[in-house]
Amino acid sequence: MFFHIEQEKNIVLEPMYFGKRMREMIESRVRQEVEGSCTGRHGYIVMVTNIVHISEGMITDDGTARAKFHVKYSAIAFRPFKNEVLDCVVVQVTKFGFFAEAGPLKLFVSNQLVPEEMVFESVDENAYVDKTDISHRIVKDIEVRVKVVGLRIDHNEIFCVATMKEPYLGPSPA
Amino acid sequence: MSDAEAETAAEEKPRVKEDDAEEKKKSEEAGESGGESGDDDDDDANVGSEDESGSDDDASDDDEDDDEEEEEEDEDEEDEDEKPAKPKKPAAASDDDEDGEVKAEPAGDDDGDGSDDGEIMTAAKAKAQKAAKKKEKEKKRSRNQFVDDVADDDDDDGARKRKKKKGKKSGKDGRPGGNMFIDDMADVEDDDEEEDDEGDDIDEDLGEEEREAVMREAEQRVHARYENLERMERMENEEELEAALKERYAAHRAAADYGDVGIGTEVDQQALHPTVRDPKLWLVTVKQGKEREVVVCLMQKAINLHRSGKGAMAIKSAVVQDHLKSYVYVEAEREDHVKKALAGLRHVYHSKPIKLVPIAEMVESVTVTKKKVSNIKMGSWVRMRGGAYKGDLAKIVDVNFADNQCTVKLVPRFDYAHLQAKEEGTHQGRKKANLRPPARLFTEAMSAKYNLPLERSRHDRRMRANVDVLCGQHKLMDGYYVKTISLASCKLADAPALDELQRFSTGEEATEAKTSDGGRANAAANLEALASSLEGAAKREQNFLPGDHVICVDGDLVNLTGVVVHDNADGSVKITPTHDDIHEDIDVDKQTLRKYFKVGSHVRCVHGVHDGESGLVVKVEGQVTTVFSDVKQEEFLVFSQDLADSKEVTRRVESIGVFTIHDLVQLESSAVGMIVRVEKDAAMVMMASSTADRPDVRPVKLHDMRRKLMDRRVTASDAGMETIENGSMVRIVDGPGKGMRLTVKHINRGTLWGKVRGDVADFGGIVAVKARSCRVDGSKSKDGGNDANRAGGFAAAPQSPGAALLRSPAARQQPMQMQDAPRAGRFGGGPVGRRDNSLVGTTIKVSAGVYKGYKGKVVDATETTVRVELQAQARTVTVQRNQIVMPSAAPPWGGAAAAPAAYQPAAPATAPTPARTPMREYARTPAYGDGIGSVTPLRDDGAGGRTPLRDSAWNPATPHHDGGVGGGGWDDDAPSTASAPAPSSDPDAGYAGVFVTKAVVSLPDGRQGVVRARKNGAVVVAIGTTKTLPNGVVTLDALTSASAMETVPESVLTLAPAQKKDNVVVVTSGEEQPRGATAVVISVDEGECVMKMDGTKEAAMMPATAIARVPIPFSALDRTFTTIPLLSHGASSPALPPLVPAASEPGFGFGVAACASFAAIPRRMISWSAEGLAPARLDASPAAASDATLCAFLKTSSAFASPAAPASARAPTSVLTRLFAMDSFMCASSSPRLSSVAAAATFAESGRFRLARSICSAMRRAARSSSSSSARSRFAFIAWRIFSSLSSGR
Repeated sequence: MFFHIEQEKNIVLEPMYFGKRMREMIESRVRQEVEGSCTGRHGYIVMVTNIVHISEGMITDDGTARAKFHVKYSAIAFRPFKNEVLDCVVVQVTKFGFFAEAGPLKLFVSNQLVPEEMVFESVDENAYVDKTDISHRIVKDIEVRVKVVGLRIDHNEIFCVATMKEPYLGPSPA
Repeated sequence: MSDAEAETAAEEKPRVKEDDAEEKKKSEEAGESGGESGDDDDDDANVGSEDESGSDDDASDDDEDDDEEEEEEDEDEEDEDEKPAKPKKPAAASDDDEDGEVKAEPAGDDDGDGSDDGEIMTAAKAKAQKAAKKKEKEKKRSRNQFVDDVADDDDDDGARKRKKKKGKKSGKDGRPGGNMFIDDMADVEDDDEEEDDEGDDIDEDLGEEEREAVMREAEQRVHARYENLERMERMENEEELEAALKERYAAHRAAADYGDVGIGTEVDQQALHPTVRDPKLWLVTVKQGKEREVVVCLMQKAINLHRSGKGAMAIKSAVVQDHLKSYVYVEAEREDHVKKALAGLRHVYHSKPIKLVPIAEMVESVTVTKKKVSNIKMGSWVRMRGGAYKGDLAKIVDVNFADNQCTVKLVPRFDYAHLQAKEEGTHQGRKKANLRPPARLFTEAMSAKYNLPLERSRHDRRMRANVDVLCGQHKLMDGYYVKTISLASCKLADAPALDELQRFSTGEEATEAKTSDGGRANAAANLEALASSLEGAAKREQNFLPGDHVICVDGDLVNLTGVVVHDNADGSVKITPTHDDIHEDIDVDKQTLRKYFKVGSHVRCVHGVHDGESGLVVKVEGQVTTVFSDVKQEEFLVFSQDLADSKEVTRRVESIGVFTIHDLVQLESSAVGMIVRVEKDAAMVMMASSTADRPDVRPVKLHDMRRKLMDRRVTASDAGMETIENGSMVRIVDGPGKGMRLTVKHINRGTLWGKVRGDVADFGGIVAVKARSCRVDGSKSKDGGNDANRAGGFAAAPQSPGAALLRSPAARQQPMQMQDAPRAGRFGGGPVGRRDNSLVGTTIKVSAGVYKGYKGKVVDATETTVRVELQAQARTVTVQRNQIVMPSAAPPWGGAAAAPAAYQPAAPATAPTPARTPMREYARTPAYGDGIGSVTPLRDDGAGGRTPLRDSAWNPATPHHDGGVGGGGWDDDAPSTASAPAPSSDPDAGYAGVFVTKAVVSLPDGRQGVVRARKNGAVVVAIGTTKTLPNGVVTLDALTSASAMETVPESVLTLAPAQKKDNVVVVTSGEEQPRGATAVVISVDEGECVMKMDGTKEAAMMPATAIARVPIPFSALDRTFTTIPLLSHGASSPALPPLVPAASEPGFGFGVAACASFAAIPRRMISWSAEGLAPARLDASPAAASDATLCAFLKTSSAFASPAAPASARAPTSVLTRLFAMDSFMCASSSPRLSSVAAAATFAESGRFRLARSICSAMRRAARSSSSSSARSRFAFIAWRIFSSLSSGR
């Protein structure tokens, strides 16, 4: 699920950047450091939408003459939840199941959680093929809709186990 | 008669399943009859057997037992009766035995109440085996029921015996109470059995007669028991009871006195510990392995004696304990009874003393501990103890306790090639392959492939099934190997983990999967079967912890889920049900609970091979849970009982010792790899030899890992010579895995380990790849067009003219080789880790350290260390470079050999040294380390001698260089420029006298000097100043710039005597040490010098006349470029002699102008270059001196600085200017490190810390702005070194 959240962060800037374009520098720093990061609470920070406020710089007292800025910014966060239904792109198909990505999020759909009628085939490329409708194939790079059944949150990564064994889940039409 | 009544009851009852009511009725009956007939009841147990001995096997066995033990009494009576029965006995016994067991199973299965399966079996067995047990007491002892059974049997025996005796002797005399109680004892013990009996469906297999006998016996017991109970109740008060008890014990003692051992119930047994009046237990030594045989022989002997009518043996019993090797217990009153009994027996060591077992230990000695092995039953899982199948899981298909054997089903590990060889007769007695053949189910294809005879469907009598027989000996059943082994060679397995069971049943699964499409459902079904098969195995106690989610699988609350609150002591668990209508905690029996995991929960495996792995639950099916591993990114199956909730959000740190997953480790073999998986006792390490498509992953035990490599700062170069750092994203552009993108996790010697994103392969997506086949993301030189410029990295950056000058002649001769080894050059003086293959393969000797004296072959070498494969020990060790010597390589003449000769052992003096690049020279900065250029001409060690530092690990004075130095450095005639190396210019070539060039000689007038050259028998001597040592000896102190040259005839010269610590050279031939060898004098004594040879580091003794003193080691005279550290701080004696190889002293041989330092200013180094510079004649004040030094330095450095260096650098006027010049110079120079370091250090030495610091900061700046990270780190390193020396210097 996506959230628009407001967060704060301290940015430390080297003195070489003190000058006209300092603000830009701070903004780019924020983006650089925040975008793509992942926390257990907020999930992945997808994008910094707006810098709300940049405090006055405080020279740090560590002898490096760098300055610290307190920055408030708003960002779009992507945090998956259990039972959330997601569209994702298959990145790898194995006989154990397939891996998919929803943006930065990695998911695994076990073959136990693939509908019974879809069977693994490795003839040409690894795929799960619907026995009842051959046109339904889960291969690399196709889009599938899955439901998250469990997630593991690491310090810089979220990993989900998802299921496709429910109504309205599976390869997206077209 | 009540006997008859009881018997009818006994016959009828077991055939019908009885309910409680019936039972009660029966007991009442029994009670009545007991009440009526009083004493007669005693006879119940026997009557049947005695009366029916003719028709009933079982009963007749009983009789025989009795007879055996009471031969004397019963002989006459029963002799005839017994004889026909005798031969049949053992067979009958064993039949019973087997039947009993075989039947036990189905009986248990059919049984409704299920709770007492084990007991029922026990009981049934006990009944069926009764006869056998009595006959073969010893064999039975391995059974678990032994103690009880024996107790029972003996009870019965006792009862019968007593009764018989009574009947004979006194009939029903005055001991009714005693008898009653003894019977009672026996019967009370039978409680359990009798209950079971009633519920038992008696097997059809059992012969009708046998069954009846068993039934009857059981009934008799039941009957007697209830009667006794009644009787007990009838004893109104305690007094009566007490009296009865007393009486009973009295009776027992009396009986014991007669040698009639009556053993009571368990409680009684406690009271019946042996006393001094009882027969003793004797320990007899017998041949190992023949213990049983001895006892059986004893038994046979008893039978024979009995038959022949001779007097019986006086021993009471003989016991063998399986666990006690080569001993047998014999129970007897006296030792001579034992001896007599054992007389004539084989396997008994008659010569060994028979030991008496202390009374206190008697009970222990004969107590049979319940052995686990006896729990083995059909369907149990066992593990093999030894052989090719060691540790393998096996399933018991048959067990025969009598023979101590069992038949197991294994996944075969056939060595088919071996079998084939045997079959064809080509088997040459070859030892079986050491490799353990893989466990794989047998298929006919295999026998066909190896042309092995396979007999199909042969009926196996033992297994009562058809088996295939391979090669006439290996029995196979459904692809499994069926093997009969001794019970001792297997042990009961703990509940095997799921994966093992799966492996065991792979065959079944595979066949099923083949037949069915999909196979998923089938596999699941199979798992369920496996799960159920676990029931038979030893069950682990389930542990529930508060917070565990559980589900009831049995009972009224089936399917109720809840959360564990408390684990009660009584085996139940208090749970909080997760149910809308149940609001209070309830206690539930543990047995009915299972752990319960929802799909998606994060769990950790706590048992089995997946122990420690965590993952997400993907599927739950009955007991079997599918988990998707966090680390391996694979699924695995486990029993839910082996899982625990993992509260940790992060994955568990998987570690083995200090090593954790994803660490870069160096193994004992020096190989390097990254841990990609940690298992229980080993880490899977992806070695550097892996490629992206073919990982070389090896399991490595903890003790095989030497250390963890910290490589945060390590970098590598990609295909475009861009720097790859840790964390860089790289793309594989070449070779296997082309196109993959990975994030670099580790770098080691040009190999990258990284995590591939997205396309998850094995090992969590980790691959190893050569840095050269990758390209860093965001690389500027996509096309690699700039490669040439970048190729040399720092070293090959635009070359300054000076750099060329700095090149050693050797290097200049081999410019190509330098290009051939761009890697070596790139890191420009990187101190460690660089390979030096020149040494590899040579044999060296370790001269110091732990391995001193060891010889070995060099397998690997870096600049600082070598890996040596020791000859004496089978191991490879790492030794410092400066601690090795080449025993075979004598230092060449002229080689000062301050560095061990081993340094370039394989290379003759003129051999090219490809590893030599100019950068080597650059590295030799004073700040860099003491090991470099560590020899100082100004050093004063008090004796006037100049001692090289022996630890010179990377001394420039290699033999190669010294060839030139020796000539040029000391000889007027030698070319004086560095550009003209003259290996052939050895001034001493062809000279055999003692006055070799450089030797210190004494003139007749007491002056001393150094031999410069020889002309027509005369010697040119440079006269130096002398000084007188404390011991009165006059030695050459120094050559001054004003040293005069004198030509003196050889005849008047003498070699100056060498003093302690002097550098000397051997000048005579034919001595122990070769002419030209150099050494340091350790001591001088009576014309003999003890010295330490530079080359071998060995001590040698030479006559003083055979050695000549040389002023300083030649290593200091490397004329190409040398920095010479001066004395350390504090040695600021004004008397410091100005041994100055200045311009005025061209004969000194440097052919250079040098800047120098003087007098009171201690200074770390001076620099001079091969290029002539104006001599910096400095005297005056310290400040001036330092300025002069700087000046000289700047001139020196500007000589090789880039042309871009400002002119001011050449002629600094003020400190500020100089500083500025320095700064800009450094930025411009291609080799700023040396100069800046030198400058900084110089300033630091002269106390001008501010200046020094400025230089350092300039260097830091340079470091920061440097493009290459290796240069950056070098700068930082040097700056750090200087700063630290600054702070310590102050």
